Amino acid sequence: MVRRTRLEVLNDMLVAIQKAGGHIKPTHLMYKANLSHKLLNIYLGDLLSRKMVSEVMVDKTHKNIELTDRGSEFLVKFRQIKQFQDSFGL
Amino acid sequence: MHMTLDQVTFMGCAFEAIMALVLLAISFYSYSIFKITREKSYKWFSASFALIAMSFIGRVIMQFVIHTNSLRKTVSDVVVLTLKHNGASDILWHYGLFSYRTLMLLGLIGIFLILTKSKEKKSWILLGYLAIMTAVVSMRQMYVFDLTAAAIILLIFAQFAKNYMRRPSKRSLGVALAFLIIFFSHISFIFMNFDYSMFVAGKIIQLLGYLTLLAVYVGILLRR
Repeated sequence: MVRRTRLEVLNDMLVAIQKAGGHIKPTHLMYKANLSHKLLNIYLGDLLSRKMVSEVMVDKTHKNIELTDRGSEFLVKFRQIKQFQDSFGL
Repeated sequence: MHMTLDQVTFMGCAFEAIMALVLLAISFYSYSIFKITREKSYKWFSASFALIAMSFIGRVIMQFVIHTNSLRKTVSDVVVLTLKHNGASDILWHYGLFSYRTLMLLGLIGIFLILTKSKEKKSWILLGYLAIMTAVVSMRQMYVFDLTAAAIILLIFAQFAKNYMRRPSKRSLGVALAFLIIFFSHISFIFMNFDYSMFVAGKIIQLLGYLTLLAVYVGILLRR
């Protein structure tokens, strides 16, 4: 099994949120993106700092992760990067 | 076909400007990927394409400056460039041509080393040295440059063909075909000393190669 790059993990997380309709519970995201709790926190922090996702409080104790416009743009960009990579064999 | 020097120079400059733009577009795009992924191969890929673009830009500027300083003569179908015995033009011609060839060879070697994922710094230095030496020798024997460039491009084509076998798609085929076309353009340039029309044919083939590369690039950008 090939290890995923950081970019691929971020893409998998964003795809999981998009497939869930634009918002998802953190635990569901962890399972859908095949991540451990520790790695989820690291990568989620990365996505939050890049403003690709945002945290929305559902009630006092629960929060959802929402895909932002920047996140959607990244998904398009990622597909292009993948195409570039495959076309030029990089 | 009868072409005056004005027409050939204008055609050459226009083609080279288009090719430089295609190369710069790919170079900037590759650099933008580097900024996102932080993978060094994209940075060096971008630098290699930028070097080739710079070689074309330098050549366009050189031709423009020299052309405005030259006497034009057309003998039947052959275009003869007679430079004024002007020291400045001679120096510009030699340094311009040397820079063009050096940058082009360094860029091509860069692409080849990235595709082969060569991490040995000594090979980079040795090949860089050989590129400069080839440019020096080609100042006396013109075909040496085009022969060397054709050989490197053929090796690059082999890498892209291998990539196409691994990941068959229209775009990977397009990239491989583009470099095969560019290879044939340099083969054509080798014979331009015997027949000047080979230069014109070579330039048209070369432009076709870079336009194929542009089509692949636009195809990637249009993917959503």
